[in-house]
Amino acid sequence: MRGTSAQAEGPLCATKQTNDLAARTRLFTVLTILSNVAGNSFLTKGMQQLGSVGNTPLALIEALFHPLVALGVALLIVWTLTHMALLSWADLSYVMPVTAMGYVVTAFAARVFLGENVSIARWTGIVLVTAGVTLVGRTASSTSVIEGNPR
Amino acid sequence: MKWVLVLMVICATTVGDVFRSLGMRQHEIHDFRLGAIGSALGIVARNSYVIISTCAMAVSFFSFMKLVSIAPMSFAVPMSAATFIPETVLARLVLKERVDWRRWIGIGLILIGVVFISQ
Repeated sequence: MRGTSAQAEGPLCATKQTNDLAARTRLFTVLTILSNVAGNSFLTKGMQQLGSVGNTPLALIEALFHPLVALGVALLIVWTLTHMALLSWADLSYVMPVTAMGYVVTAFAARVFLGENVSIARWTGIVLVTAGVTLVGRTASSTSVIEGNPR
Repeated sequence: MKWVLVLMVICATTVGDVFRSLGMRQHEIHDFRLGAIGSALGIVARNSYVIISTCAMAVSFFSFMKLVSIAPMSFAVPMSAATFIPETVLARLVLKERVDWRRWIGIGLILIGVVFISQ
């Protein structure tokens, strides 16, 4: 009986783990993309408001006290941490292309928040990037077997 | 100067990502309670691959900042996206990932797409 129940639980457990991993991968991919896009946007906006910043380390540290620059840097720290967590279980050749969805998010953010026009060329790019991300998104997120981390 | 910066961004980002991947796969993060995240950070911060990666990422970040200050975004963004190619090759050779045709075609589509988006 015991053997039968273990056999019955085995595949179920594996399916649950796979589902958990897939959900975790999706969540962290979204967090990585959003923190990167928002972080870069706030940083750029803040640096533009500051105007010319000197090249000395002191001038760069001073720039960190600008609220938008500080917010941008904080979001980029979030990006670094979520990206690191994602790479702890997913392939680089999976994470790198799927997070490229950030280019599409940036283009839409420019349309919504800055009222920028999206040209035909940009729409073409958005379609191509989305198609590429969809294609890579259909592959298994982790295939590597090195460093004693069986996947 | 422009091309030197492009080369610096591509090399530093590639080194940064590959080493980050090498270092992080030694410490899979699966416990997301605050204390566990804190102790994971403590361990990861001492991983030599992660240290090399962080230094490379800093070089990449400042080189990119300098690049966008002397060249238009429509040049800087697609040029930095070129890191996809060496990173995928190294993911296959160094990280031993299975890079099948869907990944290669997908990356190709993304690269062409990024050029269009940046115009």
